[in-house]
Amino acid sequence: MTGSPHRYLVTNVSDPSDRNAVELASKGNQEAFGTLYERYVDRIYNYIYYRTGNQYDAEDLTARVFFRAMRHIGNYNDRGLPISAWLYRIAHNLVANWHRDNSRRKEVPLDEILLVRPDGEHPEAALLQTEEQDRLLGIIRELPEDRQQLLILKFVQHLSNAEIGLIMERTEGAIKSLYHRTLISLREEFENLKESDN
Amino acid sequence: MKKMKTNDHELARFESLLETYLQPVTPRADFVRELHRRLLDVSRPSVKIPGENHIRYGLIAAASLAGSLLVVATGIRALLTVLGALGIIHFVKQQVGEKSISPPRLSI
Repeated sequence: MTGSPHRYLVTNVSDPSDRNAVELASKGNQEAFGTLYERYVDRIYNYIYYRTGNQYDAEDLTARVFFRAMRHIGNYNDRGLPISAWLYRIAHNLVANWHRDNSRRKEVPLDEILLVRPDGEHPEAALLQTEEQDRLLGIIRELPEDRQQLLILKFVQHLSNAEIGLIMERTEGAIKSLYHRTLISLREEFENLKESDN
Repeated sequence: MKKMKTNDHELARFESLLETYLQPVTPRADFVRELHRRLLDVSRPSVKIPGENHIRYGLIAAASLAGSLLVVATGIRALLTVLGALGIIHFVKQQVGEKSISPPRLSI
C-alpha cells in the first residue's frame, strides 16, 4: 500500500517547510496559511467526505475546518505532532458534532460515490460492484468513530500505522491491533449481510 | 494452522476489496479555489494608521467643544432675546401708563 500513487504523505513536524509555514501563518502571514491550505485541503476533504457520505456536507465541513484552523493557528502548540494531525483532529471534532446534530444517518447516494471502473465493463458486473460497494460503505459507517477514522486514513489516505498513530494519538502497536480487529469484524459483518441477502 | 492461513488469505482478499472501493476523491476545483479566496479575504489585515486613535480622540474632543460652544451661544442668544422682549414689554407698559395719567390738554 505504501507504494500507491495516491499515497498522501504525513509531513512530520520536523519538516522545515511545514514548520516554517505554521510559524509564519501563526504570525498572520496569509501566504503561509495558503500554502498549508493547498497542502492539506484534499486530504481533509477526503476524510470528511468518507465520514459524511456526501459532497455538500464535505465541502461545508472542510471550509469550517480551515476557518477554525485559521482562527486558532496563533495558539497552535506543536508538541511534536504534525500540523496534519491537528487539522484531522479539528475535522474529527466537527464531523462528530455533525453526526450528533443529524439524528438520522444519511444514506450515501450512489451517484456520488467515486467508482473506479475500467472502461467497457459489463453493466451487470458494474451494477453488482456498485451494490457491493454500497453495502460495504454502509457497514463501515455503522462502525465506531475510531474504526471509521482508521479505515479512511489507511485506505483512502494510504497512511502507515505510525502516521495514523500520530493522528489518533495512539501507539503504532495499538493501531495495528485495532486495524486487525476492525478488519475481522468488518469482514464478518460483510459476509453475514451477503448471506442474508442471498 | 491451516485454518489460520485460510483466514489470513481471506483477510488479504477483503483488504484488496477495501482498497478497490475506498478510493480518494477529488474536491471540486471551484470549491477549492473559492474557499482559498474566502480564507484570504477573512485573514486580510486591516490597515492601521499610526496614531490613528489619537486623531480619532482629537476629532471627538474638537466636535464636543464645538457642540458645547454652540449650545452656550444659543443659550446666551435666547436669554438676550427674552430680556429684550421683557424690556420692550416694560417700555410699552410704561408708555401706556404715562398716557393714562397725563392731564387732559386744555383747549384754548
